[in-house]
Amino acid sequence: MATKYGGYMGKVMMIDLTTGQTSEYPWSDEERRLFIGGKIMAAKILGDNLKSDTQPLSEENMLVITTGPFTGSGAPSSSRFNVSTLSPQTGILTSSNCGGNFGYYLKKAGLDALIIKGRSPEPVWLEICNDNFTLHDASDIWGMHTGRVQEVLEDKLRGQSGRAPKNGKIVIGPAGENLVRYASIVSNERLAGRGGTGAVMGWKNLKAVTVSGNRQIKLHNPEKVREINKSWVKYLKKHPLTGDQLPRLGTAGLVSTMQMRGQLSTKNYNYGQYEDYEKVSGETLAEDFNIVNKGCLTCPIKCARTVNVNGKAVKGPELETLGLLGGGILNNDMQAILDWNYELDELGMDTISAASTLAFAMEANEKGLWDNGLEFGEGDNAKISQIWNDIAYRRGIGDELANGSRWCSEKYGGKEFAIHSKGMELAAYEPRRTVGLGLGYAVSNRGGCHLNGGYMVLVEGLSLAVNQQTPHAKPDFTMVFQDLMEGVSACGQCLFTTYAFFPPPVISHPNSWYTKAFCKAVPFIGPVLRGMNMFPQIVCFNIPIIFNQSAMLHHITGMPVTFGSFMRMGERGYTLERHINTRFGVTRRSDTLPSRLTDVPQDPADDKTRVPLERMKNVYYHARGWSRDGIPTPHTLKKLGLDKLASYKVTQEEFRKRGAADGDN
Amino acid sequence: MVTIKLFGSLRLKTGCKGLEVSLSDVRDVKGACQLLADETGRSVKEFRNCVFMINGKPGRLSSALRDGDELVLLAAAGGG
Ligand code: SF4
Repeated sequence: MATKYGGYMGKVMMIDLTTGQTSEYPWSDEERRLFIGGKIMAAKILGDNLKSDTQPLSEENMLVITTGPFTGSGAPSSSRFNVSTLSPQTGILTSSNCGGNFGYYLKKAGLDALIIKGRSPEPVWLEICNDNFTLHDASDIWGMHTGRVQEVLEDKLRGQSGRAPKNGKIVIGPAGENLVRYASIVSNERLAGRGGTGAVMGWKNLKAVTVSGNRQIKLHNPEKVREINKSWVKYLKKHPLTGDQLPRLGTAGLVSTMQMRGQLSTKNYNYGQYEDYEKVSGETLAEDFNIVNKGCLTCPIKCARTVNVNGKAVKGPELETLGLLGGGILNNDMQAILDWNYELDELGMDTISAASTLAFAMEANEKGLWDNGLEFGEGDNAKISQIWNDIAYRRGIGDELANGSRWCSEKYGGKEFAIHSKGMELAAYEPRRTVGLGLGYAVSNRGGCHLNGGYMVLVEGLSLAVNQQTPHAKPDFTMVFQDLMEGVSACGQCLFTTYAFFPPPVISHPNSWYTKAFCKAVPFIGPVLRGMNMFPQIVCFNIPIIFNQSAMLHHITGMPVTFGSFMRMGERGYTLERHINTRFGVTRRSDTLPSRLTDVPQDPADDKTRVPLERMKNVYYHARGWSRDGIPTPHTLKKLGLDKLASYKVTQEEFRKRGAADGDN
Repeated sequence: MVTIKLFGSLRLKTGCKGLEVSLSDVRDVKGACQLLADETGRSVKEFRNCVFMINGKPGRLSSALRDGDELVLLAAAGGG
């Protein structure tokens, strides 16, 4: 279906693995305008096709792989692609964003998105080259680790000619094949890590997809795009976060700041500080272990680390992995974390969920709920490596750990310290010292995710020193950040570019009067933010330098876009995902955190050091135009242009059937 | 004695992880910044633009230091 907009290839293809048939999926310009791309586009497609009784591991479930209009446009940090599906980990929508080069090559093959449904009777891999889709027998590569299978696929593509076309790949490892609920999809060394997308791919008997092509990506106004690009890259390189901290230390650089702020998950979130944090900090990683910085295609930030594992240069751990496999399990051995991070990537599973489930098991063992032999501060690194393998192959205790902490706590007890929300484990930031993020974790559409949750920790201690404990204005701020990130993600750009949203002087002069005044003012600006959230159209212009995304979207696509309409687009996406999730039973009661984080103060002497969740939820739902039960109201759906979508009219009868309150409250 | 620890990109730029100094050399955070600048040959402004934590609690440039204190200098961070 051709398009009048730039930045799009104008084609979405669907393959049914049950029959091997391919077909073009209808996607109109009106849908491009409303749902842009990435996770919002994927949500619309899944919303149109998933029924309330669809099971994650079923032929009806789809893997929807989407790009955005920025993907392949040359815009900074825009090689991203998104994978969405009904998650086997949470039972609701999940979306996982990935770097690497697959998104770029998907567009070179002429596709904006690829939809995979059905289930192949035998293991297969899919080769896409421009319009040609070929399914190959995968019996010889089934069982391979993620790095090895990519090498073998490169050889296969090289074939007899001896030269492989430039291509992108996504693969799964043993964890995906064995349906570990938090198995990932891997592309190069990057992962669509969260939500169990790899298990859905494994269930479909699809080991890998390779994609190549030679189509041109046309932009609406290439001159302008180049112009903005130049100044944007310059700005990102000069910004203290995107031009200094991230390139020098990567996300790992947060460990020490989190420690100082009491935000570093320690011993399965019993505490927020780890006495040996220096040994597993970003500084130690950079000084003693980092070989070279690396980045995704077209990224000037280059936040990735390369480290040495068994004499091989491999991708280093991110902050979440360092936090959860360091202080989270009381381990101060950095080399062990590097080794485990590599093993988990090779097995193809999410380091966050794997580590957090392990920490839960250790605490359950310590408390005598589950005799599993796992102990905090376990000095035997090989034993932990064995656990990862047991999870990936579902052997022994690994078979249970493969189901995640929610499942384990339902079986053995300990729900109060199973650190997840909606079945997805939290990401190393201890929310009792960043209560805004606590709200974000709980209401996040895909479960306990810091980014989908709005990443309030950025202003609550990491970059700025807004009061970490006050709930004031946090719900409104959370909505702003969520919508902003939703929009950026839909464009196909890395969320890390949004950290440059705060002007450099504010970040680099934390002791200046203006930074202090801003931090002090934040808890009082809730009503202002509420107004902006309700009427974003009042910002009917673009904000140059600090927020180039809206102008860039306009020049890439030709759509009229302002900062206000960009924010509304993000809001539309966020509420759309929520609306679809209500079909799978999500209500206010699903937006929870374990009681350790809401009822037990981190500092026993300070009752404020816990997450005042219910109170913030009320304000948040109101700001979003959702009912007190957390369900988007008909009025809100209409405001966002979602009311006309017949498939989204989840009836009040359906809600009543589930015993939830109706959406009209 | 006062323990000064440096984190963030400034630590990588200066190669200085921190110092152990006697209280007579540094009476307050401002003095600690000057000392770090002298030790590393960098502008004192860079140190003054850090976030200060004294024994785990937020501090200011004018905060006095006491014997046994641990002063941590952090740079703003983001991205996870
Ligand atoms: S900032 Fe990091 S994750 Fe984002 S695109 Fe760049 S290298 Fe990739």
